[in-house]
Amino acid sequence: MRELKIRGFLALSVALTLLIVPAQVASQTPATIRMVYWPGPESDAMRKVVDWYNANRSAADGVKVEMVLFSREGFFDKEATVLAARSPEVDMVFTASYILGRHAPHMDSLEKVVAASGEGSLQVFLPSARDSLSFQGRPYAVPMDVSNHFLYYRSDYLNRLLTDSAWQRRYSEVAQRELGKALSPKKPEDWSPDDFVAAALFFTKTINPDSPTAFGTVLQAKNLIYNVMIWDNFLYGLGGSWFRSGFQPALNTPQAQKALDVYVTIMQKKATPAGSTSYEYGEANEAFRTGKVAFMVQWSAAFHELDDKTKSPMVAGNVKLAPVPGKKTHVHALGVGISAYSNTKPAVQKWVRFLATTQAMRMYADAGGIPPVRAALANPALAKQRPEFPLIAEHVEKYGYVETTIAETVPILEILAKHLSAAWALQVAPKIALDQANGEITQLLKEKGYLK
Amino acid sequence: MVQERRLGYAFLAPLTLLLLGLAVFPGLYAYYLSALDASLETFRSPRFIGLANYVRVLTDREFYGAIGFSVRYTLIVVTLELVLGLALAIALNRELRGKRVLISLLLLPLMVSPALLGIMFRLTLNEFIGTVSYYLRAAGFPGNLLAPPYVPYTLMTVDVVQWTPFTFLILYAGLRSIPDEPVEAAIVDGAGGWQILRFVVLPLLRPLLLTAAFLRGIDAFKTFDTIQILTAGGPGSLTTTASIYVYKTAFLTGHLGRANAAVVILLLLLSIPMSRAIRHILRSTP
Repeated sequence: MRELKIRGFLALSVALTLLIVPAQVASQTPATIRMVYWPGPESDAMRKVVDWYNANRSAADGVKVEMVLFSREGFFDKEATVLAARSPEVDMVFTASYILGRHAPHMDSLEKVVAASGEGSLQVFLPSARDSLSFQGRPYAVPMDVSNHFLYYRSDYLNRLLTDSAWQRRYSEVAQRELGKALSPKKPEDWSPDDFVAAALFFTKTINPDSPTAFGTVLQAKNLIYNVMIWDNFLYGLGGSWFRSGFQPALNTPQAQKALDVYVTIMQKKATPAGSTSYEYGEANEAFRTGKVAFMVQWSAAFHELDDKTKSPMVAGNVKLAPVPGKKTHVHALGVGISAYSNTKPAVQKWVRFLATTQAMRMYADAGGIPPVRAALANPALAKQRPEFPLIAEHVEKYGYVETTIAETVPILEILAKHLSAAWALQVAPKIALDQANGEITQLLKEKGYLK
Repeated sequence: MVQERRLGYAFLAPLTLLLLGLAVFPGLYAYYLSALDASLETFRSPRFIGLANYVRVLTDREFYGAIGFSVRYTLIVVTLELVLGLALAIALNRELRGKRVLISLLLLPLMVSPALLGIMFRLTLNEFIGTVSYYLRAAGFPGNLLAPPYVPYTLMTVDVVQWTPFTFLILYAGLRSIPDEPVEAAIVDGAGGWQILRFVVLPLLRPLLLTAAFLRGIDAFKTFDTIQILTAGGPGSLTTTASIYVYKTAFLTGHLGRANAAVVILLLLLSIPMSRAIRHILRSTP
């Protein structure tokens, strides 16, 4: 009997040991979460945050973060395929404002994941960036990098225009002769779209032989969705938008016509290089850094290289930023959210709450990212190296708008790119281009059930 | 006998499976998808919509524009590549010092991937940093080769630069294999250079010319990479090829079903000239 008791006790001990020890080991092994990112400055910055988290917080939170890099070419198509396959291999989705509508059905809303306010909440981020990663009123991703536009201008030339009376007289003559408008020079910060066009003509050598630059501006007019985002600033700055109420397209309005006229006039008057119809971000930067262009509307990311004496010796030191004429800037954000098919959601949620802190975002900004967090961007130490950061915070906050985040955002951009680029290249009359774009967008939204 | 046949099937099996997996299945799947309202978001639960995708594609003006551009592009580049390839083959079909080096240099564009070539031309044609633009400007050319109205011809030139070496290679090999006797007989009969080319060389090269035209025709019609890099099908849809149309329909507007319907229509449209071309080539091959 005694022997039986001993055997029973031993068996019980072994059983308990087998049950408890693996559970304890498991509780000490952090859950690994896999976060998709695209390679580039964004992933370099995120890597620093991930490394810090894994070294300092992993044990306490029981979470280890792994980054999975897909190549940038066709990145969102690849990611969409992984999501469409409902793969649990990916725990965190890398998304962008213009693609969020397609990803959101495969993601968890962050509404109940993050705190309601303060650190660990989305209140840490600037409102328009927050909106840019919300879908149907609910947040789906933590905004990691924000993109917006500025008017980049040559301060040496524009300052002279404000002080040299001969230049000022000539400016008014050019505006009257070429545009039939009585305009006088203003500070770039106060420009309207009309001032933008007039200044572009004044700084074009074929129109004003005294111009120090060959072209007033450089437009990015390739058939590309990102170029539409730049043009949108003029549309919104002139009081227009993509939609009237209830997703009724509003591309055939006087505001849209006027916004398109800004580009068309500049193209017709040859105030932008002839090759602009094939230009995008890189070509516009090249044109500006050669010193042959007086100003341009460009993405915020360009300042860092255009004001760098080694990369842009002909213009660095004379590059200043102002709001896009009309004082509206398109805002989109890249961010990370939770895959609906993740098997490690509690762990992912801890990581998300960490990302939604000023501490994490400061780290991200220090590592080269552009997080839409005022406290991170306006950090004086960082602003010494990246003087555009406080301006990004200010402009995104004051002038930022988000066109939409519905699933049809990219198709709408694609329709606009196709028709607007034809008008920009002077191949199609502006009104026809806008009517056709409006018609195609209406048809698309009807097919998708947004319109009756 | 039966065992031999089984062995034959066994040897054929891997390739057959590969063909089924990589060609037949995707082909049939394209037909299936073309009848669905499929997108990347609804990939798992698409709606059956019958022929709606076909109707939509067939009533899309841009689809016809893309086919029209692809046909024009193909006809022009294939003609130029055959003429230039033949001219180069004839020019080099003789004893020349440094011929091997010259041929190696001529073949270099073939080694470059089309996307990379697109990027190279994007740089060389840039009006601020491009060498070609610099010399054109110096010569008094006012426009930009990537802007209308020149852009379609620029794209064709890029194709010709890349693929003329291909036709050259085929035709040069053909010229080398022509026996001396017919040419010598023509000379004895008093034929001149042009007559020899017209009545002796070209008829003998005909199967190879047709093969080169056929291969290049298929490839040129499918052109995607260089044009996508240089113009993305624009401005507007001026340089949109059939491939770019399908790509944009599938991945930018997100209509996988509609894109597959376009592919099926293209396949049907091309099957007639393709089958005729193949029959013609087979008939003219000794």
